[in-house]
Amino acid sequence: MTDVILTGTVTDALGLTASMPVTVTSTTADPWATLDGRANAPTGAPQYPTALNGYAVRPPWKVAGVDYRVGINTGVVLKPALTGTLPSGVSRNTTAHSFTITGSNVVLDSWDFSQNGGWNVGVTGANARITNCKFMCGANANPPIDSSSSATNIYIGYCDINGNGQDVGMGGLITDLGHGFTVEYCWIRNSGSDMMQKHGQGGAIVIRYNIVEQGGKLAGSHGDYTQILNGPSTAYIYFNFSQQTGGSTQGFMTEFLTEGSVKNNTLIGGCSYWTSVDISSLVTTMTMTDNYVDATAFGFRYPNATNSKLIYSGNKDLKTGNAIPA
Amino acid sequence: MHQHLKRKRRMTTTTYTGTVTDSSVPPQTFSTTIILTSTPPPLAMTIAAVPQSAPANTPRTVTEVATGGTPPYTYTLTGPGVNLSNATGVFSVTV
Repeated sequence: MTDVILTGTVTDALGLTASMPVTVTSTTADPWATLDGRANAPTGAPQYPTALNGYAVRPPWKVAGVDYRVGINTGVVLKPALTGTLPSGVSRNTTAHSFTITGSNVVLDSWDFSQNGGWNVGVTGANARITNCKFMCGANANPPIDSSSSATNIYIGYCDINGNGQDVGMGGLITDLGHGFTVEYCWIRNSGSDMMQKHGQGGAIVIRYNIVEQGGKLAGSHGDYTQILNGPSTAYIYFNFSQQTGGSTQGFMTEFLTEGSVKNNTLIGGCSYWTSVDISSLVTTMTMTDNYVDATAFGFRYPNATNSKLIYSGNKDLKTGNAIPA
Repeated sequence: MHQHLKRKRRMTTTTYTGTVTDSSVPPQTFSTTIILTSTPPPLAMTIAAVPQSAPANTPRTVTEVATGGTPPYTYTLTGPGVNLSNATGVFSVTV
């Protein structure tokens, strides 16, 4: 803090004067305030406020799920998927328990897709927005969200997506066959296998301000938090919180990218590797910096290689505060 | 808090004349004069900044209010990089 003293003086018509000081305090602005996601987070208590207790260090920013809540906005009343009134550009199949977003710029907001054995939302249109929706996989074995090759720029925000350890086939809880997607402020958990998959078409992937936890819960699975296939894609993965106990999964795998970054994530527990890179697909760089990690399995990254297109710096071990070697 | 007053308050005077006349013929009168002296209340001021505490480079409103003395008033605000003057006492500064 810095104090500045200003002095006010008043002079009356006869030339008499009176003076008085006032102290103005300048606080130090938090450089993370507009970066770490807190500004647009849902209200309500974070899911895991004590998750970082006991570590030697913690990130200097506010962590999703630890310092602020993610998921469905507080107070939202969810519409039942079976009977709710559909917005234009959306169709419903009550036998298959699925919605299809065929229109462009459709907003699918505040729906409960967790009932009736679990629903699927498929996207074929452009610029769909799926917000404040609750998914939980069940007896129908429906993947929560997927898209066809015609889909572009899907936005998934403020959703609760619970895989419930169910087998939903070869895809993930979110599977994009289209042209890029953004996932933010979501609570994504308990996938039977993968959390998020990207196939073909390329496009930009943005994954930020989420809790992504507990993947690969199905016996015999080989999960990934992200699996990116057949690019070229770019991926920017930052300010997420992940924890993993049990299950069998890898973390944020970033193959088939031309460029990307995995930055400022907080990662705890037993992913086989928290990150991986396919150097051969990179055109520019992959930046993996300033992640805080408690890796209890193989480690933070794969491969443990040096390459001009790989930038590793500022990653820290939560347990010791020491830098993770570049 | 510090306050500095230059104590040179100027006095103002008002002259009143009283006259009494009796009922005699011819009437007799008597007059006398009284001079009343008054001084204005001492000049004083208050000052406040809103917000008082905020991140650096935040606009603040500093308000000065004078009492006593003899209006009209002229207000000034000085400090590091600040040298302002007006007749309202309300200043906007970025600190």
